[in-house]
Amino acid sequence: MTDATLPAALRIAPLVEGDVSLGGLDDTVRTWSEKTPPRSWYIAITITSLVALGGFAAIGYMLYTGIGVLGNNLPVVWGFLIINFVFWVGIGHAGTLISVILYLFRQRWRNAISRIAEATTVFAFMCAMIFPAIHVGRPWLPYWLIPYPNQRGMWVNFRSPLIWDVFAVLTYFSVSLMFWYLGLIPDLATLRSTTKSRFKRVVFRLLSLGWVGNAWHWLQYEKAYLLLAGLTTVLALSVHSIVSMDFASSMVPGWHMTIFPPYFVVGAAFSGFAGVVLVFAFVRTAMHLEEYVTPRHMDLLNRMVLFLSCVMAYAYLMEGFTAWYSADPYVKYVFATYVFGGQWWAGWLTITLNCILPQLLWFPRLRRSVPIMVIVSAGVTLGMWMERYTIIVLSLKRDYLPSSWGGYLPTPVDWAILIGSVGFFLTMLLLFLRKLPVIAAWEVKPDIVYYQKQRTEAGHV
Amino acid sequence: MRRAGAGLWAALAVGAVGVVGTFAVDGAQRFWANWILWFVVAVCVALGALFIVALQHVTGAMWSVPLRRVPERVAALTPWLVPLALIALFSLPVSFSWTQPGAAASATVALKTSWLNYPFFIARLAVCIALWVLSYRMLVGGSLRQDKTRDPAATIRLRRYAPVFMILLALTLTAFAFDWVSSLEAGWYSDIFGAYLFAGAVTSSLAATTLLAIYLYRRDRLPGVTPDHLYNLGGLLFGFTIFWGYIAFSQYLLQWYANLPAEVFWFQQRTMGSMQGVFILLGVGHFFVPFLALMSRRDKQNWRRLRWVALWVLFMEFVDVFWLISPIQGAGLHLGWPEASFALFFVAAGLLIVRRAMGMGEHMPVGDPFLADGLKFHLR
Amino acid sequence: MSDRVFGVLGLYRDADALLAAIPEVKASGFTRLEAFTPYPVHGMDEALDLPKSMLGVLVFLMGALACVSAFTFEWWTSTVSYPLRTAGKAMNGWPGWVLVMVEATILVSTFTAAFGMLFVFNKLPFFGNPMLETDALPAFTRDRFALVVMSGRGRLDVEAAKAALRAAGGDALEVIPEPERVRASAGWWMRTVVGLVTVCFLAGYGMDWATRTYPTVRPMVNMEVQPRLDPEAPDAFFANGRGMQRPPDGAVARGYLPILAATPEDAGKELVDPLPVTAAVLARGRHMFDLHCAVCHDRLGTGKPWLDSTYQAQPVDLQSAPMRDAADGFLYWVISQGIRTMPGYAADISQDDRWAIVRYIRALQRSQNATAEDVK
Repeated sequence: MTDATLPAALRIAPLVEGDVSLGGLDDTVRTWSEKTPPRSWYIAITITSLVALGGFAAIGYMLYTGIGVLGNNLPVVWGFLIINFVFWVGIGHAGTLISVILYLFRQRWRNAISRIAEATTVFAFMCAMIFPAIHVGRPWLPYWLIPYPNQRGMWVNFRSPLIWDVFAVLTYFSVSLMFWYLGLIPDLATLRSTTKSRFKRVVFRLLSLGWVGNAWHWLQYEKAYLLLAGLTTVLALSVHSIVSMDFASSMVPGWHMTIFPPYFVVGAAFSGFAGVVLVFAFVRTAMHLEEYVTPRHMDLLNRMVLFLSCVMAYAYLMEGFTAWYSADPYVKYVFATYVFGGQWWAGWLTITLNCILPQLLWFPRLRRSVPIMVIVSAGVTLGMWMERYTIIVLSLKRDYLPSSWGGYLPTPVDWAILIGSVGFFLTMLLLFLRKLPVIAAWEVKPDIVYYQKQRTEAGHV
Repeated sequence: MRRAGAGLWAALAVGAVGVVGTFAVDGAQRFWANWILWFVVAVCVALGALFIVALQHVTGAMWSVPLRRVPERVAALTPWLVPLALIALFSLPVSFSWTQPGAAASATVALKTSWLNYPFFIARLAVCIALWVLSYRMLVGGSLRQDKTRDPAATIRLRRYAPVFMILLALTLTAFAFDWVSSLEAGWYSDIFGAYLFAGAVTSSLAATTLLAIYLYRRDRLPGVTPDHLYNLGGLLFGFTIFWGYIAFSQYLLQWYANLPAEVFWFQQRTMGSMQGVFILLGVGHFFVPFLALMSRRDKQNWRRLRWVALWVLFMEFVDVFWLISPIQGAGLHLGWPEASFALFFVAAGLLIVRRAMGMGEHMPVGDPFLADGLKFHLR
Repeated sequence: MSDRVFGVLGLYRDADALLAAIPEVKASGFTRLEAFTPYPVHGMDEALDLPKSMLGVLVFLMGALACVSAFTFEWWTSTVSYPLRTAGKAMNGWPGWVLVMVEATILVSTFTAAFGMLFVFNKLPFFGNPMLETDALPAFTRDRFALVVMSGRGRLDVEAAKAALRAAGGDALEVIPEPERVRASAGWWMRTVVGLVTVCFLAGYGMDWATRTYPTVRPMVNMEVQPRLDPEAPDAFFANGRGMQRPPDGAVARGYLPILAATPEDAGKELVDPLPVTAAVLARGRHMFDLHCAVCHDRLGTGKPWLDSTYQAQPVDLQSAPMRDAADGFLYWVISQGIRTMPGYAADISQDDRWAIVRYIRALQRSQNATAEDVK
């Protein structure tokens, strides 16, 4: 590096700050799993788990009584549950994109944040998968979606987007869970050999499968990691595209848009990155990860949010333009109701929070300001939820025939399930932070060595 | 080298005869269909190359610094878009469905006249071309000046401008795609179409960049560049091949599935009858061939293989645009000596332009402060 | 503890030291070396002459297999086993199959990559690895780098190996003993099998007991219990306490007019075929005849039953002269009321359909007794 001769704007900050060591990283990684976490952790998990329990109680009530307790009815047959499904699937794309696509592009800054991002994916998908399962009218029969030889003498309809969805979501969940676990193995092996608790040693010994870090094992491991990265990239693209096709392959005005697949993928990544920024804005200081998750990491994450926000703006623009350009009166009308209809605020919230608010991040200083990034990311998370609300509810409300127009009003059960899913997600995340290594230590260790070497070289010169 | 130049000039002359002959023998419609086709190909390759240059500035990638001069030279096609566009304007009354007498009678086209009319259409083209040429001056000109000044501040300026260019590119290339390809059939619409043309543009210019980079690499004009750098180009080509396949399939699947008359007629013209072969060739050739050929790491590192794949991808970009534009001439496969002479003329012209651009500055951006870091790049 | 040696271990400060040590130790004559590192160290494959990973080939093959299988399965289920046309598309509408093919390919290839790496190539999980029992384990999974001189079949010059490792900069030298291999005894197997069987038995019995003892939860009970009257159910609304009421006297179901004629002969005089002369009526008649009559009277009305000879009845030959001469009303009466062993069909076949059958019988009779005039 020719850092000293470069102007400040071109200098690149190191990815680890301060005098860190390999062992120090291992100690940081297991802060909460070896020591008692702060009181705030206990308070937080009490609240989130109670909220989650409330959500599950609402689900139980819904299952016991019937889905009539929800707000959806003709013509708005897809209500909160499908909005929440798409929303959580979207958040769940962060892990893959950060961990996998940035890995393919050899972006080393992903190493320190990949583990939490992958965890976000897994937990968001757990939330997401609840919704379609309880949304089917007879929740004891969803196994009919699996193609197996049966006495009904029928096969599933493989040309139905809903069946694509089943395959996509199940594949994505199992693959991201496996990918997450695979990344954990070497770190669990480290914990196994250093933990003081006897019980944990047994558990980690089993979970780490007897990993000892043999060079030959590492060689295979990295190869598998690379292959998984490539495959999971395609998977991430396909999954949210398929979710979008639940809508786009229909003829509902406002849904049938050819840009939907890439637009949904970008939207998913967008909300996912915002979610990860939110998580790190708190975890970074709470768990004292500042040395490994530096302001540069947050800056880069926020750049991604900004970039994706611009792509979202492009997609909205294209949708609006094409709605007009199609010269189709129904499509034009539905798009007009998004921004000028009775629920105009839904469309405007979507546009403001997703496209206008993140433009703050053009300024480097704001990209590194924690309050700003929390506001922007929270806005994006809400905005993306509103986007799905706009697409689903506002499109269904205004069908082709004015005689079949209708309204939609969510019930308290709808709200309880939505809020409960947030509680469930946060509970899982807090448990993860408490029990498992929060940074992929085996990936960050080479970076530490790299910067250590650089510093000693600079010292000698 | 001089012999190659003479050959290119000869090809250009032969092609020019054929191009003029097309107009004389086959009439205006075939001539203009081919002219628009090559205009679109030229825009794709030139803009894609500018995109690759800007992408490097936006991401701050190091490995691509030694190779940056290559797409900058491919982007030298940009100023030549001006004469191409000026001539192409004469195709408006002939080739575009919304300019035909009686078009206004169609209810859907009548609703679009505030967008599809001569003054606005020409103004849009003028703005697009002006912005492209300006961006070319900024991005490539700035980089060339840096060869002499060796001023790191130029890098900062380029990095500031690159994101602006990205936004402009997204808007202008989409407008161009809707105007010059989609509006040939004014009734048809697909909001992914800008992304479709963009995917093809980047894929083809990556292929052109790869070809030129390998050409220079073989002649040792890029000292310090290793097969690992070329591997990255192969990787990007692989990635954008998948991206193109993804966008193309999304568009096809959704319109096939919904089966709306306003949309599906466009695909009917392009997937049935004598165009069916082209459709299959496009799917197999633009996606599966490069996908399988570049799948393994060894293939991407093997520049001898990469060269052929890049050439094939460039050819497929032509097939892609041919598939988009040729059916406006009516049913049947419009492929014959006119198409061959247009290809000869434009390929020769493009090669001559790029060849001339080889004289611009050094073969590597020697003024870039990250050149040394870029040369240090190796896999693993 | 056996006295056989698994290997001798030395620890190194960092990856560079380890990479530098490997050729030195090799030069001392020890070629069976293994390295253990806290993170993947690049260049190790060349230093230790590790073979190339074949994982990519395995993944490609499995992925291709999954892709082809998914296509075949989708094609077979949607067009052969359970032909299903979707949205008016061609039966072979392949674009709708592509996405499931993609997902299946990715699912199988990712799991091949992960499990192939863990189980096939790395032979994990393996908890009997002597490296797990070394004192250096916490170090080389944390921040140190271990090089182990492995013994070939338990034979190793321990002192020489130690010296070589130390000379190459290693410290914390450790001799790793070969682990004892303990075979499971017959008693262990007995205990395990008996234990598993007991557990299964208890679980099954417990489930059975629980389902008998506690009532099943019936969710969404209003789908099962609905305000409606089942056939023959009691109901307090009417005075007679029945849910189903008899129709008022003299009520006639539409399309099922009763026949007032007492004999077929009377009917033959009284009743007239009310249907128009159309191809649709004949087609309907043919359909109903084939459905209800042909099984005994044969498709042509010859009275040769398709049934087994154990079926003793002798249906009338509709092509016989008496039947050809019989009036339309005669046939209609017989179909409605039945005759001899033939049951009446008034309850099963509507009035119009019965007349259509009569019409079709007429057509059959004419077709089997056609004259040259008819062909002209």
